[in-house]
Amino acid sequence: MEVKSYIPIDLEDCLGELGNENYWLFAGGTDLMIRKRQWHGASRKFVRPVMFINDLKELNGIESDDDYIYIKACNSLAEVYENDEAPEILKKAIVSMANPEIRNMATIGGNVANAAKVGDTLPVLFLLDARVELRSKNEKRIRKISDFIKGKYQTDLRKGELLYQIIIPKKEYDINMFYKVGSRQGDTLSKLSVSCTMNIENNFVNDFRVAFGAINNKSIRDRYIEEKLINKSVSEAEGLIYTVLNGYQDLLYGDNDKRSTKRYREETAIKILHKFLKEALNEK
Amino acid sequence: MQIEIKFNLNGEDVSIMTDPVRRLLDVLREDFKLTGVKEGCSEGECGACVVFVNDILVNSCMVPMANVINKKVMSIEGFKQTKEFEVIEKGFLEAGAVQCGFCTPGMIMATENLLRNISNPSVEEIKEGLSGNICRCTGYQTIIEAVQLTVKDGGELWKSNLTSL
Ligand SMILES: Cc1cc2nc3c(=O)[nH]c(=O)nc-3n(C[C@H](O)[C@H](O)[C@H](O)COP(=O)(O)OP(=O)(O)OC[C@H]3O[C@@H](n4cnc5c(N)ncnc54)[C@H](O)[C@@H]3O)c2cc1C
Ligand code: FES
Ligand code: FES
Repeated sequence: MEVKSYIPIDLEDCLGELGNENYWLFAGGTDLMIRKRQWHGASRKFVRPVMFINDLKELNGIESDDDYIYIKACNSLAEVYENDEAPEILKKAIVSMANPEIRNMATIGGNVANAAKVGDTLPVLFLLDARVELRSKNEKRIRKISDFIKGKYQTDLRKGELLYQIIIPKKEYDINMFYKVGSRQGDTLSKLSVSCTMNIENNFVNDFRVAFGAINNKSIRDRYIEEKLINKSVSEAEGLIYTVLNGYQDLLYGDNDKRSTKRYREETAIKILHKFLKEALNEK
Repeated sequence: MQIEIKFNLNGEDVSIMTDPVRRLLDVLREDFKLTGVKEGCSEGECGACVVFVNDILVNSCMVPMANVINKKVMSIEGFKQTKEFEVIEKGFLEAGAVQCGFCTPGMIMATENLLRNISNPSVEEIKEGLSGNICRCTGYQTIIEAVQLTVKDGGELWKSNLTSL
């Protein structure tokens, strides 16, 4: 059976049609083409109709104002990487992903909407306090990314809705790190990743953020633990390193799976954060 | 579902009736008999199937026909007509970077893509630029040397950032 395809001419056409059937949205296709591997020749495995959104003008391009950067869902990872205003830490995550050809096709919206446990932009977007704008024919909603992502392959996307753009508050992060543990260049799905930023001014920590990816089903970010270091002097913060590490230890629920073991993930994640904290606090 | 899909293939406007979910790889190999585009892994990891779509290097095994409508597709067969190809081919032959040759069209296209972006890449940059291409017989050292030889012999070509097609 060949599946129905819909190629909308613009966003209005797309949203108008989206509510009519249970469409599978198709952006860059780098997740879908693998999940539907049997696509060779025929398209039997695609049981739901498909709507192609990758080339919609309204879903491409990156804009900004004084406070935010707005990344439309169908920008490829390469396009986000090349944008001057995209946050440094997001770029670090992007170059760690896949290979140049895949980064040319894979969209940032697909990485978010797919909500894979190993999705590498997710922890960074959690760290950056990103929001997502969702659009349907008659409605526009904005949700925090941490509310939008509900778990492994689970989001708050409703029927008839698509991810329109990702909205990131503009902010300078003096020290930023994205550290990913994978196995092979070119196909590096995360075993785990640690994203950290810190701002220190006049010997006081005025911002500190951490997000862990690919350990729990959903990226981990905890403002309560971060605040233990905020507004502390560098030497006070140094004395609190173990309090922070213990706090995160309790939040990690890694699994054993084909990429790694629970113990390896948890221990490695905490070691990476420890190293970051020692270096960040000693540097100043 | 069959629809008419028009695109430009290696400089020529073409049109076919096909399913928009069909892979570009299959259309190139089966309908246009462009068999320089190889199928290795079928999942975006080996780079044997790469082509340029609007000058952007992509894996044709991951691209549905819907995503090439009205675009410009260039396969190795089209790229063969360029000066750049000649120089890269010479680099690969001189370095002995070809054994069975299955990965070679992809390696050549990825080399072109790399040199368009960085005309004099370091070894690290070559490794990153070719990180989407797998070779199971030659070994990467000679392939890196092939890229270095290409730059040494004909690097000027990429400085202008234009291709001759
Ligand atoms: C070889 C290889 C290596 C990879 N390496 C990595 C890696 O290192 N790290 C990583 O995180 N990922 C990796 N990936 C996965 C993949 O590239 C990303 O998840 C990609 O960003 C998905 O984007 P896409 O446009 O290709 O999504 P698609 O396959 O088009 O879509 C993915 C899902 O998102 C939905 N969707 C897409 N766009 C929207 C939208 N605007 N609104 C609502 N729903 C939408 C689709 O319906 C689908 O369910 C790799 C993939 C391959 C093939
Ligand atoms: S066949 Fe397309 S990347 Fe391997
Ligand atoms: S030469 Fe045989 S795969 Fe590279």
